[in-house]
Parts: sequence; C-alpha cells; structure tokens
Amino acid sequence: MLVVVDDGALGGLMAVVAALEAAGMRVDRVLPEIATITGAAEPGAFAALRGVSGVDSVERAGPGFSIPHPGKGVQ
Amino acid sequence: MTNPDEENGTTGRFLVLLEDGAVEAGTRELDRIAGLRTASTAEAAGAEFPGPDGLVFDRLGVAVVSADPDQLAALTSAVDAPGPIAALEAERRVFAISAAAEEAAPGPQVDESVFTWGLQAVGANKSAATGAGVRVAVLDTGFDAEHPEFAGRAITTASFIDGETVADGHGHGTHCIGTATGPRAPGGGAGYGVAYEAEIFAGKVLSNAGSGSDGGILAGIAWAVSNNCQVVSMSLGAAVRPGTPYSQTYERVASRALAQGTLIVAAAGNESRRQEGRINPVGHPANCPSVLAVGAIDVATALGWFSCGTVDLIGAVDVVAPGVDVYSSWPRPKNHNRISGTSMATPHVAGVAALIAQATGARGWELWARLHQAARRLPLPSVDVGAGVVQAP
Repeated sequence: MLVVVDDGALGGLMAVVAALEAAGMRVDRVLPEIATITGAAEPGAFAALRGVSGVDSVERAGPGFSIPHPGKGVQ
Repeated sequence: MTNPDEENGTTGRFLVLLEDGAVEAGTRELDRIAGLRTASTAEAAGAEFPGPDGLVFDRLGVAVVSADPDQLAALTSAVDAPGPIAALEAERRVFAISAAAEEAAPGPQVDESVFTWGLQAVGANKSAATGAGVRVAVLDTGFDAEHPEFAGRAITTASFIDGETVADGHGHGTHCIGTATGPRAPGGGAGYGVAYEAEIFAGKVLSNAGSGSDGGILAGIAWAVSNNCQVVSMSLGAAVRPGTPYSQTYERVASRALAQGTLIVAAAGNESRRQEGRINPVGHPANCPSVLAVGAIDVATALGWFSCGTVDLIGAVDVVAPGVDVYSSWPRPKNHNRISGTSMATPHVAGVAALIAQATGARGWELWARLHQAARRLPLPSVDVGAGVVQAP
C-alpha cells in the first residue's frame, strides 16, 4: 500500500499516519522527504484510507521487482 | 516460399503470415488443412516454442510451425487460395537471444585499452568534468565497498532489505556503481567510470537474489533525497502490458524529488525481442513522465535487441546510452564483468548527469533539460531512442 500525502499536510505528517492507522493501515515506513507512507491494508480499507484528511492518493504496491541471476540473461 | 535447408541458414520450421485481423481464423485453418496444432503467445506467456506443432504470435499475425512435406504442400496450396493464410516462408536462423550466446559473444570491436567503448560513446573520456562535489545514489543490489578500485572514495551505504547488509551478493549493483562513478584509471584494464570523482551513495533495494519491492525502493529514494543526492540511478523495473497506467505514487515522488534537486534515472526495461519484431513498453517506474527512462544501444550505435520502446501514450524512452557488452566492476574476487541490459545504460546516464551537474550547476528539471539538449541525435526512431545518446559536457 502506497499513500501519497498532500503537500499542505506535510507539517502534520504524524497526524496523517495516526489517522491512516486508525483507518486500518499497518504502516511500515514514513518517508517525509517524499511525502509518502508505505505499509499494508486490507482491500476493504481503501475507501477509508482515501478519506483520511491530508491524503492525496492511495495505490496498491506492485508485485515487486526482480533482475536475473548474475550470468543469466540480459540485466 | 523456400524449402527448409539446415545448411542454408534456415531452421526447418516455417513462418506462416496470416491476413490482417485473421489470427483466430488462421489458427483454425492451420489445424483444418494441415492438422497443425499451435499455441498462442497470448496463452504461452513467453514460452519459446510450446505448442505441439508451433506457436502463433498473436500481435504479429505470424505463426511459426514445424511441417512435414504433406503439410507443407497443404500450406502452399492455402497461400494461393482465398483465406486467412497470406504467405509462407522458411524460418531463418536469427541471433540467439539466450544468455549463453550473449556471454559467448566477443567484446566490442573498438579499442578499449584505455577506456570502455561506453565512456567513449558518451564522450566522458574527453570531458574536463569529473563529478567532484556531486552525489550519485545507485539503488540496486548493494555494493562491494571494499573493492580495491574504489579505495579512498567517499562512499555512503544503506540497506533497505531486511536481514541483508549492503554487501553485494549479486554483482549487478557493483557493476552499475562502477559505470556511474568508478575509476578512469583502475591500474590495469579499461577505465570504466563516468563520474569518477562523484560521491557514491549505494542503497540496497534489491536483495542478493535480485528482488525488491516498491516499499524498499521508495525508502531508498527518500534516503537519496534526504542526503541531497543530485542524481538517483535505478537499474530496476517491472514489465508492464501496453496501456497500463503509470504509478501515481512514483510520479508524485519523482516530481517532488525534481523540485528538491534530485533527478531520478531508470532503466526502460529489457522485454523487447526486436529480432522478432516485438517491442515491449517502457516498464515501471521508468514509464512515469517525471522519471528519465533510458534505453540501450550497442557499440555500432544500433538499438539493443532487448531495449523497450515507446508503444503507447504512457511510457516514453527519453534518452539512450551504452548497454551492450559493458565492462565494469564486479564484487571480489572476480573484480570485473562484461554484461548487457538497459540496467547498464542507466548508470552511464547517471554519470553523465553528474558531470553536467558539476560543470553547469544544473539541478532537477534543468539537469533533465540539459541532458536532452546535449544528447547526440541518432538516425533512429524517437520512440526507441528519445533525444539520442547522452553526451558529457
């Protein structure tokens, strides 16, 4: 789960974190430099997370990244 | 059509061209007239030749089939008759796309006794800029910070992979760091580093097995921004299907990073198979408008056969750089390796960006603009190469 915070809400970032947790998000990382919060939540919590004051967007994290083993294929 | 001839550069298989929009009808027709059962690439998901008798490339309208003389006669008749089968020819041998064949290929046919062909292609060897005072973050599989050719360098490291130190158990990260910021005179062998006096920030966001997640990568970007790195090099990505929207999160993050003076450069991806006419779209997150997407060229300034292209209105290749047969550093005791990919092109751009940042003071969007402005235009489609090959100041 990737949450982007409004520019205007950066000063109150921890309040946004607390509200996200109250709305069902398990927060992994708070990244003030890029106004982004990462963590996990049940799909049913999406609407509640989007409704948190100061939240700009909520997006599901991707399935992940991978590169081939060294020596195998184009890197 | 031609007959199969193993000694004449053909494979014994045949290419069947289907009429426009007639892939389904053509697939049925192959079965009806010649008993050929084929699998479709849409179903086979990357399998090389999975059907009992052949494979249909849906997006190309081409089937590759094995046919005995009777089946061949039936197909030949079908070409001349009305119907979905338009043409037939013997399949030619093409360049192997396997890793083994790539590795077995000899090095580039240029003089690399002093500098790699990549440094020469971007003009780094003729630039007075060194990258001094510029911070370059490479978010990858970590770094062998004890590598002897990086002794005395300013190196800051951080791992965003649970349970793993920044030590590079893969090699990919050390190779990328070598290209972006490694030495020009390593004391034996070719100089391979573009910004050889830049400060190195090695962030481990891919595990020793080569895998990572959005959470770790965003944490690495935040770390680079908080350390005021002017350039972030990300030789990583995830393949996307045409038409897939770019990530709103990464777009906002990259835009905010630019506003704070941090340019993010990312690999366009290696999913194309240009020998087969297949061009796949720029992957995530390089497909975000505010992430500089990098394609790969070879020593002859031809496009890397694997290099992703601009195939929809979402992702775009912005520039290209050397990404085939690239020599750079590798974790001890091997110390060096020569590999290929848009992963290898990306740190060339990051290094050139660091040189421009030092020479001009440009940051963020201005640095992006100067990379484009200075790039050497190529007689190749802009959808594949963007503004061309980046050039050192």
